Amino acid sequence: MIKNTFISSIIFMIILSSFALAAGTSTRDSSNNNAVAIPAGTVTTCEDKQELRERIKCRIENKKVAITEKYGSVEEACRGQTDEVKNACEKLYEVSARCYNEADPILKKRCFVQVSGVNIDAKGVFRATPTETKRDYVILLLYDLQERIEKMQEEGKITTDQASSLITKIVEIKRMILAKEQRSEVVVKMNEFKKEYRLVISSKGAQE
Amino acid sequence: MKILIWVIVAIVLIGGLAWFLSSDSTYEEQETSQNTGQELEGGEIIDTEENLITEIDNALNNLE
Repeated sequence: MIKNTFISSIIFMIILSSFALAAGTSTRDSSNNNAVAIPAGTVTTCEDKQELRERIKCRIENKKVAITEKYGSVEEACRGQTDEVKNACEKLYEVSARCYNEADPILKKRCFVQVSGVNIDAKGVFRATPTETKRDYVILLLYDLQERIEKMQEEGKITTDQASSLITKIVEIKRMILAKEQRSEVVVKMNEFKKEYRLVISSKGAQE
Repeated sequence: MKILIWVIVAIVLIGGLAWFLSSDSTYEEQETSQNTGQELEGGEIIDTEENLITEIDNALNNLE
């Protein structure tokens, strides 16, 4: 009787502990872990493409490779920077990952504000904060825009070529910001992006 | 002997449950303090792509 009680208690505790373990792992990496079925193709990497746009297009077309490379390689925007900037850039992506799972736009923005450390008043004017925090905030917003464009492509609202081109421009803008290039030059690039984006959206509207 | 085993099992279970609940409430406290510690920010609500782009423009204009 004692032996049976002891064994059943152990089994009960093992079952309970499995729940605790499940609770920990389910929140550890809440990014897109859905298995994406891809045809049995030969593409195993997009890193062999020389051009940024080609790498981005390759990842859009091969979601499984994109997920693998998301964790196994340096984020595109962080590349080509000094080690210090690159490390800070990767850290920013790491700590902000939770923000992109937030569906509520107010909470998402609040998360960006918290992660970047920027301070915005009720009228939307930036209070005195270090320039780095403002740069980080723009980068977080640009990454959100990038994700929305990827989603539009996944939903068939825009083509792969259109998505690749727009995302390439976003990555280039992020690189310019990280490289601390002149704001006027970044604005020119942003205007190019907006022009192309609105052209894509208007052509989409014309098709519908 | 039987009572001793039941006492040990009860202690482990109650202890485990208390630890689980306390870690959960600590997480909630952290979340709450983060939410209340941050002033409600202004600017665009980034609910649409256009509003997001406007917020990016606004943020860019504030860069030195």
